[in-house]
Amino acid sequence: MLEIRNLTLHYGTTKGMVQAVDKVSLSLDRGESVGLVGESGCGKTSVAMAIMKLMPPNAVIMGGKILFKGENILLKDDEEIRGIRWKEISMVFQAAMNALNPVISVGDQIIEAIQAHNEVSESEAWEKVKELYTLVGLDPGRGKSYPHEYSGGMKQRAIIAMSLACSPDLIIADEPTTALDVIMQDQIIQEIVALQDRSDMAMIYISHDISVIAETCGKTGVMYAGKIVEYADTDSLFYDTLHPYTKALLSSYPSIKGEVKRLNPIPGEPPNLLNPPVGCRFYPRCPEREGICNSQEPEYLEVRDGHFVACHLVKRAKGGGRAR
Amino acid sequence: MSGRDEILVDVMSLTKIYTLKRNIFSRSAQFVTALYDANFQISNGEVFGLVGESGSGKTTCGRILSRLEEPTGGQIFIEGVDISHLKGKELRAFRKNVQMIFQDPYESLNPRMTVYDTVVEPLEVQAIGDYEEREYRVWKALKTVELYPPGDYLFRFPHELSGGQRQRVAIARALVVEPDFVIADEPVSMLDASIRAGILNLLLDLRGRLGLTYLFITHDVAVARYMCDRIGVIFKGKLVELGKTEQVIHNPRHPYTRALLSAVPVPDPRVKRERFRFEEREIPDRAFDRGCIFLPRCAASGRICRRESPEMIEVEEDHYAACHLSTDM
Repeated sequence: MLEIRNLTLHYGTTKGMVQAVDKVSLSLDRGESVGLVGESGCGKTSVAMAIMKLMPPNAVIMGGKILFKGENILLKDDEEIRGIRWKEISMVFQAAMNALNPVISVGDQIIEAIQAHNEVSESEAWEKVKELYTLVGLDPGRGKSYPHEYSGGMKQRAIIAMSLACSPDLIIADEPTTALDVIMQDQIIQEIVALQDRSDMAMIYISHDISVIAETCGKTGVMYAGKIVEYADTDSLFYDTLHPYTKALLSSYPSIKGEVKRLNPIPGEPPNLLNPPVGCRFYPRCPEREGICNSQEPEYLEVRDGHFVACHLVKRAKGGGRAR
Repeated sequence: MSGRDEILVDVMSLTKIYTLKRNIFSRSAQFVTALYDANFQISNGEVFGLVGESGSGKTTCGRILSRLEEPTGGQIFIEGVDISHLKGKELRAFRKNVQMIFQDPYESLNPRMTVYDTVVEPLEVQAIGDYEEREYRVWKALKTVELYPPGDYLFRFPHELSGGQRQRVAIARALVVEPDFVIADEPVSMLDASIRAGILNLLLDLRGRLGLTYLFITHDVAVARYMCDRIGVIFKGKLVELGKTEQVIHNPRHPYTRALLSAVPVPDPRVKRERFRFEEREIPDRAFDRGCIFLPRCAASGRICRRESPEMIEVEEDHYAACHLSTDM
């Protein structure tokens, strides 16, 4: 349903071009959920914004395609994209609850979204709101309440309800629970997972927190400095980890389960994307680096069924792989 | 590390009530109880964690212990001295022993001061050493926080540093006066995982090397487990559970602690969590002296919970829970 091929996106700044997204490929079928995990500035939100075609004015698409149901989103004009955005692809933003209009009741704001895309009467729209409220675990009678009468978690639920208002085929959740306390986060995540299970809606879930991704997504892509460095089904990614960055990221997370192990920080800092390393972008911080990594960019290869990695060492160990 | 005779910090019935500004429409002032009757002790060389959600009062507790705020009731003894109401010179002398590390290194550092100026400032305030001594101490503090070589950092401004480096500068500033007790309020919550692990390891190493004692405040239970010898769980201003970290994590006895722990995501796709839920109901502010604070949300409450506010009960050795039913669970 969604296929991203070699998406490359740069931002023009006064200091030069920031190479925020570099040859990212990703595909998604109906009913699938893919997690994108990475640290701040790795390009995960940029990918999401490109899918929605909501890039800031200084963004430049340097190459690649985003095919949604076979058509390239990047080539559509504003009028065409408005027919797709929210209706077929919708998005839940980080801390979106703060974007609710304080002087309009939450239900009316959802109705506004419904009526912008569908020819329905006021009363039909209210029925839809009640249905959506039930779906996300809100009391259907609270539609007339104003945002200040909701708690943070309730507002975020209402935002999710709004994003589902037009029954989209694809939902992009960008850190939907980051601003919430852990108990509320857990409830919302359960709600999202249940919703996605029940429908054949596809989901891209973006988070900096690998534990949230571990629990929500069937497949996971790990991004580093604008690239997907490893992509696999979530179980393989955690139990058959191949890329040195993924390994390092996993061992830098504490857990409340299992033994307490000493955490391994990754030395150094992510590269400046104004002028990223010529070879592998993880080279300066990689514990396993070799000479070739500094000079040659590793290919993104399928080394096993559905398990993609961009690393010279893995490629050699696995005796090559299929190019993508 | 253990042993009751080595207690460094002793907090007794600590309470903080804020008075909201009276506006022209309301006749009486309104009060918010941020912290109610907190009791705990921190031993020398220990890392004690305060864990709670936003608005639970954990930051208030840290701010009172560092005397950025004055308590409304109760007492705090640090090294046997009651510091609850220190003023002037005595307060300044106290700050030599107790330092704080804040959450956001983007805001806690003055953007117009170089690293050197930031780190040397506490020495100037405390009138410690002459120029050379201060320069030596700043150099040493930067080495301690692994900003190496220090000469590369001395004359940089915060905007020239990464988040992790800024937090290291903030730690150097806290350590330059060689305190015994450090209060770290969410010191890593603004940092990415790979950088965060480095700061946590640094804080743990410094505890061993310099014999520091920490109060570590965090909302992240997994981080608290990694850092702390003992933790206290705080809910809406009330300490509800207290014990050795592993005891509390593996055998939580307060219903709130259970719900909190069961909601923490685990970085392992094969782990299936069992969840303890509670109802989302408003907690009225007056609930402190009338029954249990957690009552409106509790699934297991009995009649006594409505009448009496629960005291801390020892449920196993050195493990306390403020729940009437904790011994039955």
